[in-house]
Amino acid sequence: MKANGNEKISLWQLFILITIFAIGTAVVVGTGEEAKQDVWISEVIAASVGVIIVWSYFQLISFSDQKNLYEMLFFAFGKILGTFMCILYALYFFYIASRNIRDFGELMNITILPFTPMEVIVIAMMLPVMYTVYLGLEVLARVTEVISPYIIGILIVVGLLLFFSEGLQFTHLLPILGEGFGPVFEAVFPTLLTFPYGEVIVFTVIMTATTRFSHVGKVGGAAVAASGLLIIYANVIQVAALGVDLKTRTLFPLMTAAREIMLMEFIERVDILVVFILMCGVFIKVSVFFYAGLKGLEYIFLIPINKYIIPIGMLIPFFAVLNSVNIVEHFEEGLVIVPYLLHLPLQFGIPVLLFCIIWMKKRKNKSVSGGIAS
Amino acid sequence: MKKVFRQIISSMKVDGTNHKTTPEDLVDDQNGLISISPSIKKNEEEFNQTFEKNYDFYMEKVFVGKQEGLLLYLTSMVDLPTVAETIRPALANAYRNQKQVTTVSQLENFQKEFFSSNNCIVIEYNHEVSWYILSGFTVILIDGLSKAIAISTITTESRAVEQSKTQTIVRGPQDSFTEVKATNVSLIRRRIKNPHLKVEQFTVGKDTQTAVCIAYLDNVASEEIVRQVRQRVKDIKGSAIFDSGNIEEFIADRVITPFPMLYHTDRPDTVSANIVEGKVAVIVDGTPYVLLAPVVFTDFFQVSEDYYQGFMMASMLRLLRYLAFLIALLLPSFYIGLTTYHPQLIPTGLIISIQAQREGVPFPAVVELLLMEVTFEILREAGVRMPRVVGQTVSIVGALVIGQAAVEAGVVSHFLVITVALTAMAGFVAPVYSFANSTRLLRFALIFMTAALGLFGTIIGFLMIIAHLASLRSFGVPYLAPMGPFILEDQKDVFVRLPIQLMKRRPNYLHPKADVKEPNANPLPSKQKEESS
Repeated sequence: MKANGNEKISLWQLFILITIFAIGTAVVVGTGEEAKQDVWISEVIAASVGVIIVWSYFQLISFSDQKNLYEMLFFAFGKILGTFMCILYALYFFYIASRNIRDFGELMNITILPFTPMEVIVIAMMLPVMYTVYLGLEVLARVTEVISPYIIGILIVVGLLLFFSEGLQFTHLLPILGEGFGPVFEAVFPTLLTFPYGEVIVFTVIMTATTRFSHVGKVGGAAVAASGLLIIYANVIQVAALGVDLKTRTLFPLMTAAREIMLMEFIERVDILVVFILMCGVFIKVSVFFYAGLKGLEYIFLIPINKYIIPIGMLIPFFAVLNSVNIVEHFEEGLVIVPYLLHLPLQFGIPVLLFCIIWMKKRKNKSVSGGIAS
Repeated sequence: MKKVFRQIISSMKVDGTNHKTTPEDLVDDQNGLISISPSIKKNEEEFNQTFEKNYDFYMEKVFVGKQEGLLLYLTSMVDLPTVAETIRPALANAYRNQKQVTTVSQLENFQKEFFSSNNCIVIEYNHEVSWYILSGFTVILIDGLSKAIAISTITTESRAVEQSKTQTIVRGPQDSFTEVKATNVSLIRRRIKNPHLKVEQFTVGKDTQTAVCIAYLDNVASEEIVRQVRQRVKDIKGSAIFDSGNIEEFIADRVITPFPMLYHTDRPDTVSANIVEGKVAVIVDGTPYVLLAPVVFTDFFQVSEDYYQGFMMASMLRLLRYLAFLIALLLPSFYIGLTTYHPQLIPTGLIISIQAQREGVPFPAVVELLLMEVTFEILREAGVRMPRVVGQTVSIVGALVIGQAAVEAGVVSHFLVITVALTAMAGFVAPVYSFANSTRLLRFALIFMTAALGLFGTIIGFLMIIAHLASLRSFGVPYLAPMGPFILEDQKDVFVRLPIQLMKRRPNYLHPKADVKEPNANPLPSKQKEESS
């Protein structure tokens, strides 16, 4: 049944996967507009909560004797309802994957490929994803290891270049907490919490494939903390470079900020590097979601994941294009509807429910076995 | 029956090492093993028939002591002075003393008395006789005995040890391997004087019966890797082996990949250094190129000279090699992407100058580039294949065609010529030929991707190449090690080379048995010490 059942990734690979997964799109796409210049405070709070979220996911898995998400669902809800839940999660993962691809397609359309149809971009982007997932989880982890230094390095370099070209005005960050904590919390919940930290739910499928499972909680927490730092860094340079007004109005603030870079009349138009960050980030994010979703199909239909790669891989770009008519609708959907309708129940609601059911079942089993023993 | 035969063969000793030649393929399939006939008449017919229509087959009736005997060899394979100096006097001596050679023990005594045991062997089957004759031995058959003796009289004609032709270095040993296996093994042994250096020999190739050796340090190399190499070499089912390239294709983990799955070199110092590191060398008789297994991606950016010069310069050169690799792979794609899709990414002054040059060019950038790239590839291939006598013609024509005429005729722009030339030069930086070739191949793939999708296509192609690399394994070792999987301790010798005092351990990804490489390496000379001394 399990085609890639014996694939194992190391703790370091899990760390780098979660880190890149979390910063992948979050550093480029502007979030937390409600908090205005205090977005970094919101991000600090969100990241702290994010560490707790990952830790809880880890505890949930350990509590259920190292079952992954789908095994837990089947265990807790039984055959029929469990299948339904698995389909729900698989569809959720595919949907988020298609949203990410759409994000990327929009960015390409407004930056470096204005005349290329969206369909071409999203299908082309799906090709390396399909190929990597076809090669397996280990390969995905190794690819992430290889390209992560460039993603993180470029992010840091963009900030430094902005600093050296005198594009950063830290007065933009003032006043701190001018309107109290209200807007800060508004930004944290639900947008910042669900994106990107809540999305780490997808790693409940992968965590069990780690070589030393007992350390996953710590490593996952550290990874979220690291990505939190990088996102805060990105937020600060965005606000400092653009000011709150401009940052709120542009779709991809980091990109707009990178355009401010002018150094020695030679280093300019660095925004291509930002495109590179987003591209690699999307590539890894979509691959993780795609893999996790396919894994769900494997559990439901008992067919190895490699058989689904082409059909499902073609559906994702299709939905990416079909989901919304234009970029405004796309963002509206992502910031207003999806968090409440999908993120909150699937990232927090069902896991809590799972914990309760598994706890009850375990207690029942214990008393039953205890009864037999006595 | 074959099993028994293998045991017999493996128990034989020649040259003091295990001489595991298995000429089983010469066994007649229908009749199986046939012992040598005791009748000299029958043998005469038998071997005349086996070697009929061979001008160089030589058979002579001689006396072996009192007994009649046959002397067999191939005049083209043996060193005739050796035959005259060792075998003839021995036979004459035996005849003079009227030696009795009628039993096996007497035969062995005869052998011990007249021939040094290191190049003489007692054989008992017909096909062995044929095989040893074909290998350049002289075989003596004796009437009344179903055994024979084979004496090594192989001619040692070969070219001398010369400078390496494909991997030249400035400082360091200059010798290189030759076509003769024994010379190659000796070049390695001379560098590693260590009883733990094992050189196992196999015979592969049904028709060519080529000798293939694997060499490794048995107290260092991972047993699993050695076992895999040995097994794969043994399992080769090919009929003809002429070069290590043939072997490479047989024993590689994956064939459908543009990247070389084994390292090849003709430098004995490189091979020795890698054996000490824990790798396994595969030496093939008849070729100066020795294979090293397993191999990782970063091996292709290292040359032995890195270790013979200062670590700072070595590190810089190594980084330069990575840069050159990226240029060779990506520069043509960048040219297309930047000129056709994203002119806004180039500083204004530069793009104006490029476009002004391209004004007269009647083709789109892709066609222009492919035209030039293909021209260059043709020139390069011509440069390799042409007879040396006409060498000058190609360079003159090439320089004119690629340099001036094309630009003046308005077919391509100056800037493109710079691009192609830089790409080509960067391609020559790669120390290993087969790796440079994979870069050449992928360059074209990336050109097409970029022509279709701009720089976006380049990055997609690049990501797919990385994914492909990440999926490769060479003898169980991930190809991208130590980057993916990331191994912190091995980073000392990847992108940079740290001072030797800091590289105490062998690479982790090779799973060496003894991981300390420089057990007594001095600590870095500290300032205090210098002052005190």
